[in-house]
Order: sequence, then structure tokens, then C-alpha cells
Amino acid sequence: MKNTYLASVLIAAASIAAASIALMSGTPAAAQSASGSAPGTPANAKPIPRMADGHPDMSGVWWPGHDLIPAQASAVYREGERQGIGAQSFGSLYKPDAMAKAKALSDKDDPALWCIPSIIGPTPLVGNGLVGEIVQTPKTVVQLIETYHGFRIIPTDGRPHRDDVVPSNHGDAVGRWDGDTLIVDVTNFSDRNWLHHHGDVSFHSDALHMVETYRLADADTLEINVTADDPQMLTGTWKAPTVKLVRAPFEHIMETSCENTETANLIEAASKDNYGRKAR
Amino acid sequence: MTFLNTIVTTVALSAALYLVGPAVSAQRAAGPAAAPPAGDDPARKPTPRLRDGHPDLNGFWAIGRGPDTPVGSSFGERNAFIKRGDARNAAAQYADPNQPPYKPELMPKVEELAKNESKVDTAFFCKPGGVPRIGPPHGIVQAPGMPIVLLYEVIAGNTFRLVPTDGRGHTANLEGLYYGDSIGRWEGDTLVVETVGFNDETWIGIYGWLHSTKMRVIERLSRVGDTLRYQATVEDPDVFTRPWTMNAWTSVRTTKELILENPPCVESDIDHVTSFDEKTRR
Repeated sequence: MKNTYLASVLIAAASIAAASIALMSGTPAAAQSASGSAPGTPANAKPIPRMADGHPDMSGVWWPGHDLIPAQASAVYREGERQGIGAQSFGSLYKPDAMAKAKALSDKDDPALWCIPSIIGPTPLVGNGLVGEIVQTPKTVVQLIETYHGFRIIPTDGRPHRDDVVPSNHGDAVGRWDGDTLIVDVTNFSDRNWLHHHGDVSFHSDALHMVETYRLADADTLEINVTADDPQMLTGTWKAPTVKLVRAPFEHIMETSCENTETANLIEAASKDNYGRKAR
Repeated sequence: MTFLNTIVTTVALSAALYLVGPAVSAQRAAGPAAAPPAGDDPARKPTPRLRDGHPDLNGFWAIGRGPDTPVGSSFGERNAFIKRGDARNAAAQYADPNQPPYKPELMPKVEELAKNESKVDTAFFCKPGGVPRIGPPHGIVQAPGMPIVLLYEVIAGNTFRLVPTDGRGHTANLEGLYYGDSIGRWEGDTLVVETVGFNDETWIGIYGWLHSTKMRVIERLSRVGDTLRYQATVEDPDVFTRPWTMNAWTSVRTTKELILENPPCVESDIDHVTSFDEKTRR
């Protein structure tokens, strides 16, 4: 695992935000998530919510089902590893040239430090943080990402990819329904950002193509799978570990913006602390 | 378009207007030479409604006719009905009778900020533009049981706002936000959005229009046919002598455009801009 200090600083910031949300929601987060679909409990018997058109309605606030406090920031790493990011990361499939380049990079090179959002983080809906919100209409699924305060517009009205736009950090997404599963095809990425967060080296080329699937495993559990192809960088198709998110115990997500100046301060602070490495 | 390009364009545009003077202003006021047929007027189209009876605000709304260009926005420029608001030069702006009602003792500070905009306006350093400076939303998502989502294409990074309309009050103890804490209600066919909880880093507009953390912004959005009328009122007892209702905007519904993502805002660009403050000269 890469050096963790810088990422921890950012995680701490995100954690403060997450903790604040939980506090401000007025409902103990732990109590709520425990009453939801905690691991090991029987499948949720509630019916899956549906739109008037019959498709599953994924609207709501989603998160991994647990909160964080700054003192436990390193736990995020363990969580990330539990989710499989790390050993099974995008970069594990790099071709030799890309692998050599990756070895020369570390968490301080993570574009997320300059407020450029990761494509996936642990999973696309939450990006660089822990919380995401879906607002769904018959023609569009909009994903609101709390950390860095970004959004993705996923049209589901059958329109094709746009051919008139410049490459972007989140790419160009179009969605379609296959039964109760939402399939999102994403192309036209810039090559600026990384797929993962927390300094997990995961650069990509503009040939990246991703397919994301979203399925309500039960009324309160959203299951997300991602596959990615990048013929310029990877030896084969990368499959992200399945991520399950549950409904968050707070009603809506918050304003958590990323600003270059703050990031610069964090980097400066981290460098003064030798990026968390012990002095020789 | 990059951030720097926008600034340079604005500088060039402002300088050109400033030099050419009244003739250009008159032409601009007259609008496009070849007006589209009245039958195409999007304001005459029917206003669709959702099942709950409220106007359907869903869709993408191209920045249209208004008093001033919202900060860092270039959404929607390809339609005869989507003539963008003009980035005014200082002379035009200061000639507008609808000026913010600053307390007299604050006017020197406002003018000082305006003169030093390229050095002190945080919007030029990749910070969020804030409300109401961000202007009308470029996209709206309205789904049953969910807050209304306002989407914005902005150079400092696209952003969104959530407006719950379920009758709840403001979230307690929220403060220091760029986009504040919003709640919405319907007054007839008008969505009224009330927002508090701001920081005091942002400006209301580019002319040094500062505000305090006590600012309260009321935005009114109403759909008329395929147009969206937007007007903001700013209350701030610390800086204003009375509430200030800003000039209204009209945006036009567009099906061709979705919100794009700008390249990352790079604040070092600002070092290369030396003449932006020219526009604030009277």
C-alpha cells in the first residue's frame, strides 16, 4: 500500500463532513444503519420502490453504511482493502510501460489533491467521499456526489453518446434498463484524473471505456458493478469489486467543495510532516 | 472555453465596448437584427405540469436574456432566443438604476474591491461563485418525493443545489457555505427558494458587491412556456439599507444541450491577467 498520510488528511476532511452530517441530521447514524440492511440480517422484505413506468426507483441518499471519525481515518484504508481496491485495483492490470510509470508515482501525485475528482473512488456514486444521492426521473438518472460536489447526468431516454463534446473527468454517460438493472455506458474521458482515490495510482488513457450496472438488491441496498477497458493501458478488462451501498440515515447530502488553495495548504502541511514518514 | 480565455475575451469585449461607446450599446439594446418568427417564441409554448399540478421545471435551461452574465458561465449560446446576458462594461453597469443599496459607509469598501477585482475576487481563484452570483440554474431535476435539484455548469467546477419542498425548515446550525442551505415552497406556479447559511467570501456580483454571513437570498423561478423566469432578492441587514431585488433573467429550455464539464480551473492563470480591472473604470 502506498504511503497514506496525504490521503488520510483528505479523508479526515471528508470524515469531518460525514460526521457533521450525521450530527446535523439529528439521528444517530449507527442506530439507523443498524436497523437497515446490516450484514447478516435477513433479506429486506420491503418491496423495491418503482417509478410509474415500472423501473426500479433508485432515488435516495446512499452510503457504505458506516460513519467515520478523523481519529479512525486509517480505517478507510482497511475498508478500501476490504472492498478490494488496492490489490485488485485498476493499476494491477497495467501493461509493462504503464506499470513502470505507476511505480514512479505515489499518492502525492493523485490529481484528486488538486480537486480533480476520481472517476470511481470506491464506487462511482460516491466518488472521492462516502455519500452519493440519486434523483431519478423517467428520462434521466442524476447522480449527485457529495465530496467535491459534482454530479453526473445519465440520460435513459435512448439517446446515444454525444459526439460534440470535449473529453471530461466523468466522461459521457448514457443509460438503459435491462430488466431491473440500470446499465450505464461511459466513454469520452479525459486522461487527467485517476480511477481510484486515496493515492491509489490508477491513471488511464482517453481510450477508457466503462460499463456500470446498478441494481437494487433489496429496497435498501444498491449493488454497483463496474468493468473498465483501456486498451492503451491495460492487459485485459478490469472488473471492480462489487460495492453495496445502503440508504443513508440522513435525508440529503451536503455542500462539500474542494478548493485548490486548501489543497495546497494540506500538501504543504503534509510535506512539513515528511508525508507521514518517520524521520530518519 | 478555458477560464483564462473567458477572462481575456471579457477583457477584450469590455475594452472594445468601452472604446466604441454609445453606438455599440445602442445596437446591443436593439437585439439581434433578424428576429425569429413570433410563432417560435418559446414563451408562447404551453407550460407542462407534473402530476402534482406544479409546473414541470425538468430540463436544461440555456442562459438567456438578463442584466449581467453570471460568474463563470457559458451555458447555452446557439439559439436566437438564447441571447446571453451581456458582460457589461463598467459604464453600462453603473448606469443601471437598479444598484445594490449598500449602506453609505460601505461604499468606499465596495469601490475599492471593484478596483482590485482581479486580486481579491475569489471567483477568479477557482472558488465557488456562490448564490445568487451563480445565476439561474442550467438544469433542473424534479422528481416526486425528492428535493428539486438545481444544476450549474460553472468554470470553477460544475455544482448542484438541493431544494427540499416538503415544508421542512432550514437545517439548524449550518453556516459558512458557498451555496447555503435552501428550502423551497410553491407560491402558485412560482417556486420560491429561500437560502441562508452563507460564508462572506463570495460576492453578489462582480463590482465588489460584498455581503455578510447574515445574507438571506430569495429566488423566484417560474416557467412560462419553454422559458424560465428567474429573479433573486437579497436581504442583508449588515450591508444593505433595504432588501435588493436584482434584475430578472429569462432562460430558454433547450433539448440540444446537456451540461458540459469545463477543464479544471487553474488559479495560476490569473497571474497572466493584468488588465481585467480596466472594466471597473468609470
